[in-house]
Amino acid sequence: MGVPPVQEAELLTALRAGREEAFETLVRAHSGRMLSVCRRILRNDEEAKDAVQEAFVSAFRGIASFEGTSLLGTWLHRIAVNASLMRLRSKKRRPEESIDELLPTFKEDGHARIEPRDWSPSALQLVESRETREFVRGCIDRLPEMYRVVLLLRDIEEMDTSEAAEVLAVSEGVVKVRLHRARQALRRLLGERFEERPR
Amino acid sequence: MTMTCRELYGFLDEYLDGALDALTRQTFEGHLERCAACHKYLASYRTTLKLAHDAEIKDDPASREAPEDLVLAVLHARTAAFSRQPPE
Repeated sequence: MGVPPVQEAELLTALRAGREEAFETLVRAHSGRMLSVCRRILRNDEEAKDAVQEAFVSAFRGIASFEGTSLLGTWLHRIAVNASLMRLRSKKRRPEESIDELLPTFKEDGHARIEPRDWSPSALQLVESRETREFVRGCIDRLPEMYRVVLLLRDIEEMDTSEAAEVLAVSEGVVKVRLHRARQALRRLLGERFEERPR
Repeated sequence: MTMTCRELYGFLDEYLDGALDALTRQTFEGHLERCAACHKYLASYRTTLKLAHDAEIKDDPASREAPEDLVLAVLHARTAAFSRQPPE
């Protein structure tokens, strides 16, 4: 839930004036969406709630310098992503598989070693079930963290390459490479539900 | 100009973003017309993106109400933070 554009300017004025009810309006309007974002990145409800709190405190501190060139919701979304990434960086990393084993391999003539199958029709039907969506999320969670995060930022949170590069403090080229690998690896993991045979 | 399957895989994201130059796009699509395997790979690659999006969004819609305990916790955190330190 956001705030209608006409009311957004009034809300911003009230926030800058430090009016208590404006802060509550902002929190009620945006914390649901921010919680979703933090939960997707952190995969933990309590940590996601803590990240939302941290994000709002950062936002309250920065409201005076918010220039209003984007919507408040867009600005808060970015802050929530940053708060989640900060928490993620401070967490002990889980052991990770190499992504290389999940990437396509090719023969000398440039053909793929595994003959691809298009499992789209059945997969698109199955994604209507919650169980399938849980399976897909499980596959996303099997990606090494640096790839999972790029996939989430670009394909789910809909950040563009430069935004993702900035919040991750890497180059745009690195974001592009990680995204391509993440998508290919995820495709491979999803394909495990369907039959793919060596050529 | 020709393109191998391996090269085509490397251009997938730019193709989906509409970011290929005209010649590369023509070569890419020419390869797709002749190569059923790459055609299938592209279709399932596209589906992968849709599945990921649906899986992450459908069970956790952004439009839902904020939990009351979270709203109160955020407002409390604000009070606590700004009673110690004035806003910049």
